[in-house]
Amino acid sequence: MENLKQELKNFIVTHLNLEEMTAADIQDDDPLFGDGLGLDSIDALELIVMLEKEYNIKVRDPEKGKAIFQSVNSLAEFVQAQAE
Amino acid sequence: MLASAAEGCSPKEFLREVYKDMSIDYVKFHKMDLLCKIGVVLSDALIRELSLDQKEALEEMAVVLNNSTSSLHSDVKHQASVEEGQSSPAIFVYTLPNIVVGEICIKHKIYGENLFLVSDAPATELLSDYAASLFATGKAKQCMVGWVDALDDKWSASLAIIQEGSTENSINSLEGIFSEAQGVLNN
Amino acid sequence: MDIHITNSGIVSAIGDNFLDTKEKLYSGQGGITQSNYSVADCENLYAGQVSKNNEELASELGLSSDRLWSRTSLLALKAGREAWSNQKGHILRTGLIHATTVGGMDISEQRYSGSISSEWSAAGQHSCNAAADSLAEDLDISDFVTTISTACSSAANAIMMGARMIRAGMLDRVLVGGTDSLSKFTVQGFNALMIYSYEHCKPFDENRKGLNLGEGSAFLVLESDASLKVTGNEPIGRLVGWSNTNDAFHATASSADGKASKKAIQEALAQAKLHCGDIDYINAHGTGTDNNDSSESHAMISVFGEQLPPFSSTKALTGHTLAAAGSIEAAISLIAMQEGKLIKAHNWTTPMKETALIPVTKEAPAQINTVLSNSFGFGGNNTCLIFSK
Repeated sequence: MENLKQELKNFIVTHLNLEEMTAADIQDDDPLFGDGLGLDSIDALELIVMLEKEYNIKVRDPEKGKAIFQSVNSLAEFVQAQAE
Repeated sequence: MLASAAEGCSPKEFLREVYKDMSIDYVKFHKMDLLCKIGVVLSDALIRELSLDQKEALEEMAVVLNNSTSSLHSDVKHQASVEEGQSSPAIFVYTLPNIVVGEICIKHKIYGENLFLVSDAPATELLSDYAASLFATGKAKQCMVGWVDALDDKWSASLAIIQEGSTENSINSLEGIFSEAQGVLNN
Repeated sequence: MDIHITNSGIVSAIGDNFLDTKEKLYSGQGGITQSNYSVADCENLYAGQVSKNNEELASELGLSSDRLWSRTSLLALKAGREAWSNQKGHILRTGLIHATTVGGMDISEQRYSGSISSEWSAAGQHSCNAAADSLAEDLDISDFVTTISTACSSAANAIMMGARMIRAGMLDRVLVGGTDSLSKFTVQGFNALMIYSYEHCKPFDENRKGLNLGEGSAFLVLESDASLKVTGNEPIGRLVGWSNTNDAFHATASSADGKASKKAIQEALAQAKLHCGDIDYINAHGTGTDNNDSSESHAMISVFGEQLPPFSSTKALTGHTLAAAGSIEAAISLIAMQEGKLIKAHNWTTPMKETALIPVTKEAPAQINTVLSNSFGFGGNNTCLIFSK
């Protein structure tokens, strides 16, 4: 799970062009949206693209994305659950 | 007041340095495409030079920009992603030239009139007349006008903020601005 | 000074020209069908396609088959010529203001992928201003020609700009409008934003799932009083109000409360010296997306309150024609005034829970003297136009 979280943090930084940030700057339970990392709705869509490209997971409903992308923790749990 | 940027510089690194030098501190900047980054940097430089009164009236400012390539710089990237079978929403957002106006307005909370024109050469006379018409009809008291064009590694941009009643509100001034394709960024 | 509308030309999924559109607008059929555009998760997306292909359009226009034409240029030429058909008089200061976002992308994307042979003339068609240049040459308009590109409000801005230039005494008459053709580029893009509905779109419906794209072109001819004396044309309507604001919220989404849309509506009313109660019908932007329809509903409620006039979106008939929407819907607004019949909200069944608003559900005869037309574009560019008899 820790490896997965690290990998996800790296993907978040690269896929979303977070230039002023590194994976190390993202805490597992930091809110990704709103005041946390300040991501917006387009970033959420890019994370959906990332899930498909990197993990072959399709999220069809952007509304479901809100719960999945709350934090690295919730994202990792989701990815893990899809793999099982 | 005017700001213009040099043509032919390597864009991404140059703008990153300018962003840092100017302490712009705006996380969304790095997600923008080249056209928007140029627009944001130049407009920031201009807005900082405004007087307090002018800054307070910013939300009513009109923004009228112009270029020849529309959003071709991002269009090509989007087209490539379509060909690869995986379109990127973050790239598609920038496949409209008026998004640069939108990004400037979002950053500075500008709710006034806004327009984007596409023409082969800078529509200097039209932009000047347009600003004058907005002032005459009471639609705005200040108007940001200019040319922002970018394609691959080539770009040219010149912006100005024209104040109602200012002597800079003239075709000659704007022609001078647009001919400065090889100017330097003024702080 | 009045801004007279003396003619209109239109081609879209619901009609080949103005008269054809007038007949089909109330037929209940609509122009959205399953197209040959597909995305990974859905084949044959719903879209509003113009029935004629490029060869048919070029042939109808009598254009040389020696060169490739972009579909945007072909549609613009068709609708532009129709609108300009009763014009005469070369002493008038004449302008053309065209609007597009797709430009020649429909042909460029084919060249890019190699599906048609690379050809110089096709490259010349790519630019956003190519269609305007072709149309200006075709109609011999040279005093003033420009192209606006502001997403979904483009054509509405072209109409507004034309009116301004007449009022400012810079032009006597002006051909204003917009065109966009369907393309893989835009279909894939809106799908990437997850706002392309895989069903027939349902603007202002609780169960809406996004937009369907459409294509088309429409133009209005605006004339000053002085121009009417020369051309002798009878006005078919007037443009009485216009406004433009920026939402300053997000590049591709409207603010939840529709603050800037509200401002645009209010400024157009103020400019036209009208009150809420003077509007007989609203042709809403109504794309069918969750975000727009919610934001626009809140804006309309906050302006009109209990006095909300009958409203509907016609995008379930035509599709969202992007840059052309403002002028296609201007032509449709003129038809509503001429016919004295409200336009039903096609494919609508259930009010949105958050607002309980009910659009026009019956094509009842009505005194439609004044229409408000909304066009809210990406980049926060919001434009409202008010037409009257």
